[in-house]
Amino acid sequence: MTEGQHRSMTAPAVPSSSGASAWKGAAPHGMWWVAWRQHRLQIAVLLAVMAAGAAALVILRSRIIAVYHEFGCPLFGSAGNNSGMGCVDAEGRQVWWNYGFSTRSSLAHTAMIAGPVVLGVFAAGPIFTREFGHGTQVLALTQSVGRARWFLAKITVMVVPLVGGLLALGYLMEWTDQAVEDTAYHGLNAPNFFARGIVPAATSLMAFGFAIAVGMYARNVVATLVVGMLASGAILAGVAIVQPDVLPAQRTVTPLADIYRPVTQAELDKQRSDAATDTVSSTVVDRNVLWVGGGYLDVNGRKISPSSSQWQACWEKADKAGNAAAIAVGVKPASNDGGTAVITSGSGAVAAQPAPGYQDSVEYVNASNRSMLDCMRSDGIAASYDDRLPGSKLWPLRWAMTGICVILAALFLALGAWRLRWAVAKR
Amino acid sequence: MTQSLIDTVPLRVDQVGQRYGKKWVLRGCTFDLRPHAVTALIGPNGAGKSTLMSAVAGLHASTEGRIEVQGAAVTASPSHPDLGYLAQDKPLYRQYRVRDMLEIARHLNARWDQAHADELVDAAGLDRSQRVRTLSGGQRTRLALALVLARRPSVLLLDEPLADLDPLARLEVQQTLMTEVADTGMTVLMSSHILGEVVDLCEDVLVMGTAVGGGGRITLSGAIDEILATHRVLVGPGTSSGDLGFLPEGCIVEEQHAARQTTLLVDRPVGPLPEGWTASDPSLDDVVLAHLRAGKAKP
Repeated sequence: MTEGQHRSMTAPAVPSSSGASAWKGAAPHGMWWVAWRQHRLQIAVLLAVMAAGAAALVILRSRIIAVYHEFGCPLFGSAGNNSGMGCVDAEGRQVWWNYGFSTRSSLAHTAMIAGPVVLGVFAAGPIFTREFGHGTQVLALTQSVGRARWFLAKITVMVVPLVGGLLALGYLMEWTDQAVEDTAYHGLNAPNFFARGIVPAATSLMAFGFAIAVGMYARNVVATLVVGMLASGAILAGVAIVQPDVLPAQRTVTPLADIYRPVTQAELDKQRSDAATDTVSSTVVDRNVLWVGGGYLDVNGRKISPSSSQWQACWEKADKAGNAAAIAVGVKPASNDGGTAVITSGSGAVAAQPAPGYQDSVEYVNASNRSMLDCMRSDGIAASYDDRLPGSKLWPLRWAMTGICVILAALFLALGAWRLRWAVAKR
Repeated sequence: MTQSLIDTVPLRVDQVGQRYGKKWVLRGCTFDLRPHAVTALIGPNGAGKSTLMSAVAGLHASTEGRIEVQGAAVTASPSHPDLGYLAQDKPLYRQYRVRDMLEIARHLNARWDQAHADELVDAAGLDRSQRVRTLSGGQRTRLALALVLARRPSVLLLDEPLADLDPLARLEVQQTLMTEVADTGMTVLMSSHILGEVVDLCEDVLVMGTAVGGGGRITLSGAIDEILATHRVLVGPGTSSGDLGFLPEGCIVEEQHAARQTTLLVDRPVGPLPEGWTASDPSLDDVVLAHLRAGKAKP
């Protein structure tokens, strides 16, 4: 039988039954209602979990404030106080560490880092895979709603509460931390950075997008949740690794002569006193916040990495020179043999090493410093450098990292949308 | 009623092919549906019936060829507004109640006849508060059918609608369909791999083969009455193919040779038969099966 014969079945037709005004459905906008109707339970669970987290943070903050008040301690920022960590109780114990606040705060931060990833995957995992599992995508996509609208509506109804809730939680975390610390100062390092402000919402969006893409391929809820959680965690770790290098750091170069400069006995005593009380000067607090990297430069300003044997040789020479200088002026050996020599300044000024004694004397320090200076110069080292991000870069870094997460999420969602073309038809 | 509307072919499938990876599951599929006719699409499992139907429904774009519904090209998503599609699995949101399904379907459709949906649900005796997962297979089919028919389609695609139904449920679904067709004059394409399942409902038939290199080629099409009127079973003495010169060239659909008897199925009337040959009317089963076997043998 020819194709022409197949065509012979054509006969006059009557017009379609379209146009009856009484037959009015709610599409295409009705898809939004359908998406809400389908996912409202999941949204409710999501919001309930986030509400529980918010309540926990509010309770934690109120407990901190109550206990601090009980012991008459100022909170951060009150009465010029730059840290709430120093509060002690009537028995002289540090409240932060001995009243469970440190543990609870760590748990809260951990939850605020892992939670958004878990919630993002939980929100995204079942959206399409459940449809594929029951074949109901065929029902939805053979009505009046297009694939793009279906995809967009289902994603949006989940993303809005997810991101909105996590934005609120991120700020609650910051608000809680502000009771006892300068969040601008502490906010740049990786654990805190990913637990506060807008960043948890951004990481959650990234995990959400990733799980959507995985679901399009896996077409199975459990596989999507497992792969989504593991891989999103790995992606988050990758994002955390690049975080310090996203923005250009401010470099501080310290010539060797400044590092190993002569010191007076008074300076030495003050440095020891500061080290003993773990005091950090306010200058350091306000600036040079996130240490990104450091090392040594040669006379041309190029990075140089001395070998450990070079270091060892310089240290041994410096120690001998210091000991000789101390003995020469009649300094007696210290009782705590095996102590460490003093760090004079700069991150690279690691003149620390076991010493047989004398290291408390200014003669020892200055002689060993001179020796280190000569030795390192002979190795081609001219200066040390520190790359740091100041506290003022907190928001630029947040926006940059949020941008990275949003771009990754958009790429994952685009991959999911592309894959959807095949996924809907597959049985 | 304008002439252009009168002349519109409800469904035109022109050289449609579908490839998944390197494998063609459908190739060279071409046919038109006759307006207002109920057409059976018959083919063995794997012939590409469901693939063709899902492409017509807009679930995916065909790899090659063109599909038109009421003169408009079908694109992948959304479905053509005049098209109704009932998939083989009758997908429904199983966790919802019947009334929820109706509400969801209303929100998913721009054209929706709520009164008709209610009427069909009532006729099926469905309890609106019952969850879909608790419905029987027949009830689920009738609910799915109600959702499709409430769209008021002019072309209805039914992919193995009667499969897995008990005889009573099958009869009820058939009655619903026939009533709908009679009332609305819609054009229906109904697939099945079992001819007897749909033949009572259909006026036309399309037989889809599974030739090497992909299914989808239509090996027989037309009105059932015409097909039966033109085909003949010829029985004669044992002979070889070379002794059949009295027949017009290319008229033999299938030939079977035994020691003392030759049986032929021919697709057109033949002139006076030689002595020893008799002609009889074939059944539709005979014709369809012969064309299916012939289609399978052809590359």
